[in-house]
Amino acid sequence: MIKGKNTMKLRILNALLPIAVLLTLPYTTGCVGPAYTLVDAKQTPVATNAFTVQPSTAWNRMPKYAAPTKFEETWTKNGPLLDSVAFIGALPEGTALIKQNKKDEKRVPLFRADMTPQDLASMVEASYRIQGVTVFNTESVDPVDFLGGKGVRVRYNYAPTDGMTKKGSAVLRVVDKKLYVMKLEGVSSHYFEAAVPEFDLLVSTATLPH
Amino acid sequence: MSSSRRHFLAQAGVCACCLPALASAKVLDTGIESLVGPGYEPVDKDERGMWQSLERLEEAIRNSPKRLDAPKFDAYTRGVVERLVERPVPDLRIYVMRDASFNASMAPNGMMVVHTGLAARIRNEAQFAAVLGHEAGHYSRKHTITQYRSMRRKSSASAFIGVLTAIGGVGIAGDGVSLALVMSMYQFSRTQESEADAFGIKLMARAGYSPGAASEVWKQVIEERKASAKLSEQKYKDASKSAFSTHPATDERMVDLKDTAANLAGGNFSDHRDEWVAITKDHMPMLLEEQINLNDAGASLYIIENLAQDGWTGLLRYNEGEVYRLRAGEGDAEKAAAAYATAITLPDAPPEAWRANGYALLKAGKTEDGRASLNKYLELNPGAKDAGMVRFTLAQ
Repeated sequence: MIKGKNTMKLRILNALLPIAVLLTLPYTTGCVGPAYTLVDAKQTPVATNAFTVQPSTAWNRMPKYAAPTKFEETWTKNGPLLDSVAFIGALPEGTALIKQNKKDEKRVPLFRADMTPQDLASMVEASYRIQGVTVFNTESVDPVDFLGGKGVRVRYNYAPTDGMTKKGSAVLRVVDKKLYVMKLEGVSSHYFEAAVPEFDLLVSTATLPH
Repeated sequence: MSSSRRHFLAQAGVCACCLPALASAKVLDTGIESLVGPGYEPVDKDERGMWQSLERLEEAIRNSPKRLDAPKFDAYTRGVVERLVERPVPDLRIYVMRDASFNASMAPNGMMVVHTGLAARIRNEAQFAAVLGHEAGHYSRKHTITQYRSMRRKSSASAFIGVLTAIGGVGIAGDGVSLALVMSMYQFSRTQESEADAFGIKLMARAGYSPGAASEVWKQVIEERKASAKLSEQKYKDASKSAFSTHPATDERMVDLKDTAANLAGGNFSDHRDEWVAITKDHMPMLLEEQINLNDAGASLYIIENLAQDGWTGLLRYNEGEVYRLRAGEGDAEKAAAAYATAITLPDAPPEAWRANGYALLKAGKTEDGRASLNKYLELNPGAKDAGMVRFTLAQ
């Protein structure tokens, strides 16, 4: 009897083993989805082919699931905690820069094609504020060449909810009632300034598809 | 203000298991005395351990980029506390932190944290004294250590230790500090919250502050939450009414404080509004900006209209316009434009009101007036951080 009971237990364990292995696979392999991919120093489509940019050095493209919306793609040189460049392409009217629910009390303003430069800058700021950032300082708002026309460039710094103070530069332009954004973020002590020349190059090479 | 208020703000509407208030309103016992004298030091192992944990936390708060460097406001806050407790408080260390939530706390070791979100909502010094008096109640009655011992007896000390451990680790990362985690340390029982209310209102009346200001603060908290929930199409719920809540129901506390204030009536009380306005004047643009940019239109409009009970100013009208501009719902562009147009007629309107007015007019097709308003903005603020963009707009 005792032997029989043990045999039964073994059979059950054998039957459950493949399920257990499948369940633990993501943890044993160390990832739960597609990994980072290399971006070569050549003309590259970004944000679901919404536009192209031409980096001068190689970058790491972060997995798609790391982006807050389907319109965004993110690259990094040294890891997202230190630096990142986000591309948002062809965001339609009525959508937000980040994912949010209709009934959220604190909400990023929805994109509208008639937004003024002040509205666009506010939209960037609100996307940080509603995530708990209270120390957000706009450093400058200037016109900038982007995607064949004049866009808005907002430079800012902020204190994250935890971690080191960061700097950011967001470039935005409305084309055919859709919003296009490029955003550099980096730790203010070194990584942001180090990435600015390459970011400016990416902005200047950004091209809409013909 | 302690975690009860924070939890109320954070969790209202979350609990699905609400019951009506269990007890009817009562006049609070204001005869209680302080258990802590000047220069108090920890007396046993529990308290010493707690103070050690707080030292590291305080260091992080002291060096946090979220700390507002406002020595005059710190000194003013100290003055209000000293007036309440009727003695100098050299051991009190005040930290004003940039956080838009309505909160304050006083740790057992004398570290006081005041959120900028609290200052944004307060109308006068008496209301500020109500919050500080409540916190002084928790401090003077040694509620933190009492609560710790109570939790230990109930074999749930791990929760408390977990918070202290987290504050020593996850709560302090790099040069940042998680204020939400810090505040989670101050979770008191229903009895302790009532006792702190009673202690605070007693101090207020003794110091000549209108005791009615305490219930006014609660009323504002409740009404703001209702306004926020209404505009975001949510149902307002008071989580503290849950059978599982450790806190007295919010409306119950408001009524208790109101009845207690009525019982204390007859003194020569004042709300000391002028002093509050003078000390917060330079900070108000930043305080309102922190709130308005959260784009919580219900809460923001309530806060502005509540402050405007003491008179509309150019700053308040400008921020009213900002609420509508950010919400951008049907008819909001017109409401924003009307608010900006009014703001610039008032003497204390910030230069940004002219910028907002200018863009609103341009949007409405009133090009000449819009350009004039943008030019006025540059005239008033030639070094504006967005001067480049505004000049580009004018050049179009």
